[in-house]
Amino acid sequence: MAEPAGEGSAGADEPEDDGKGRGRTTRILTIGGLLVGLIAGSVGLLFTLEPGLTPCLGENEARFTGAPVFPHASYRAHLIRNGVSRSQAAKEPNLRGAEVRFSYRASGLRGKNLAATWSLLTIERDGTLGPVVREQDRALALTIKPNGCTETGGDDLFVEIPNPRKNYRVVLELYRDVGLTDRLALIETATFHG
Amino acid sequence: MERESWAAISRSGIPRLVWISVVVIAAVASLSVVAPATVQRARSTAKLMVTIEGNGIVRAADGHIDCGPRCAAAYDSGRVVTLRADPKQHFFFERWIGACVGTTETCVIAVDEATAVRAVFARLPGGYVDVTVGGPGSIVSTPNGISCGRTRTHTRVDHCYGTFGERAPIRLRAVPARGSAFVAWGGACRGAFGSSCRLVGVSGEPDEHGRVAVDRVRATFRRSVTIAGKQPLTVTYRGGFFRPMTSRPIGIHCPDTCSALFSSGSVVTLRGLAAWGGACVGVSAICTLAVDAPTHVRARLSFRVPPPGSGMGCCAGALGLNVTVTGRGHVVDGHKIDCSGAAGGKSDCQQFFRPGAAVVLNALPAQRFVEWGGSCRNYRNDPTCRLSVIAAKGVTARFSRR
Repeated sequence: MAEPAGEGSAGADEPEDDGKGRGRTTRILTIGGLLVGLIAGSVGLLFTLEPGLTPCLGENEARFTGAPVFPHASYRAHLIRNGVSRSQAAKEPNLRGAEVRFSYRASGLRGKNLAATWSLLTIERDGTLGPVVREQDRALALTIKPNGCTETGGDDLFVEIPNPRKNYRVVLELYRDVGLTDRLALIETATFHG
Repeated sequence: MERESWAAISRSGIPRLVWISVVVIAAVASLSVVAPATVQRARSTAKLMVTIEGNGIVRAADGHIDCGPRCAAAYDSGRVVTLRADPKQHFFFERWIGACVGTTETCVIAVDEATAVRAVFARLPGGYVDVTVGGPGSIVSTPNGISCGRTRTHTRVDHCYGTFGERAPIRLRAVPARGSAFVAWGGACRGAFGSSCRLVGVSGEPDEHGRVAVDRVRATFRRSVTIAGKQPLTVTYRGGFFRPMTSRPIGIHCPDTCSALFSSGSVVTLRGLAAWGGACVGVSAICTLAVDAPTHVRARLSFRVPPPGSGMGCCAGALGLNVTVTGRGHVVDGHKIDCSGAAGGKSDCQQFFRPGAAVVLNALPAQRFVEWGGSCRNYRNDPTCRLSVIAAKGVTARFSRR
């Protein structure tokens, strides 16, 4: 008699235990959810206030998106177009050359000091590549420091032409570092007459 | 049976949801351990092999290759490896062959398949002897090449460095001017007895471009008849001060103190990285002279003294300044640029500058300078060019070859 009674009492306790356990789980989940929400909210707020801290996802890459070349350019006119005062431009030698107006797109390289270089290649009469002009062989152009995860931009570059009777092509290169060891992108302009 | 065990678990007080989570986490954990190992076994490897010509070392940045002793390593296919070539003494790194191409010491390659790289180190092609003379006298070399200082017939001769073969015997002779006497040798001839110094080839350290060995030699002369009492030494220093010019014994600390009195006959060493004039002749960091009469030394700024923190990576939005030198000479700006035309030296011919930075380029030695080109063209044959880096610029400097 005692046995069934005991069993009966145990069976009567079971739903109560189950209810307690479920209540504990609910509490844990609620607290966990609240914590996750709080952390996510704080991080979201932080990224909204300080966009620079947002992690950049995806590949680190950069490419030139265009490099049209404008031959028969004057150095002084190039400087004035780029914001240099006329009086200051007048102090510069009046070189003749070509202007390359390049544009780029960099992704995942925020905060890096990228280095852009140019090389001036002579083009032979038959259209084949000739030697690189010694004075302009991977010459340093400028550094680019993207501020966002993906950034597009551009600049104008003046290239002095040593011989106006020859044909040339400009090669632009973009490096991950100013030591020019890790190249990210390369573009060639169209062939132009000096 | 299973239903019973679940019931037992429930009864033991562990909620089913928690239990399921534990099982899932355990499964994910074991997968994360097992899967990479499996992938690792499946991933292909490729061998990178380095060979060396000449005398030098090639190392991989990850330490797997250290050639000398360890010249091959297996990498996961597609791994990017940075190799660096370091020449040993009397050699310079010439070029890469194979999967690496170019002449810079560092090469970055992706090891996609079996890859072979060859690093070529070449022996320094002889070198040059660079002479500085202090006081009334000159140094003459055999074989010909150097004739530097004040001779009996000329007040100043400026052929103060000469190129010599690797093992060529070189004899330097100290020739006092009229009414003077030789005092002592310094630099590579230090300790040489008498007025003659013999060098067997140029064995000094490579120059700043790592291409040419340089032996620097100094010689000091004095007047035969000295004036008694303390004598003034005056220094005129042109071209800006990046480091003060000092003397030993102390007295000169130019620009603050550019004139000092020394006991007559004192041998004074001036340090100041200069192209010397007046009582000193040559281009060097040190000139030693005897102050036995009122003495005047002219110095023109030379060579680079990098201020702390300067370097290629100047700043965001920096603009490039590119210098090319032809002939035997240097172009220096006192900070970052020290560009030589010798042996195609190119290490400090290009630098980034802050936009708008004012740069003063000096062509040294001025005696051999012919003309500027590019952005310094307006300065023609004036050995000092002042420019403002308002755009990426190219400058050429032409020196005579003799």
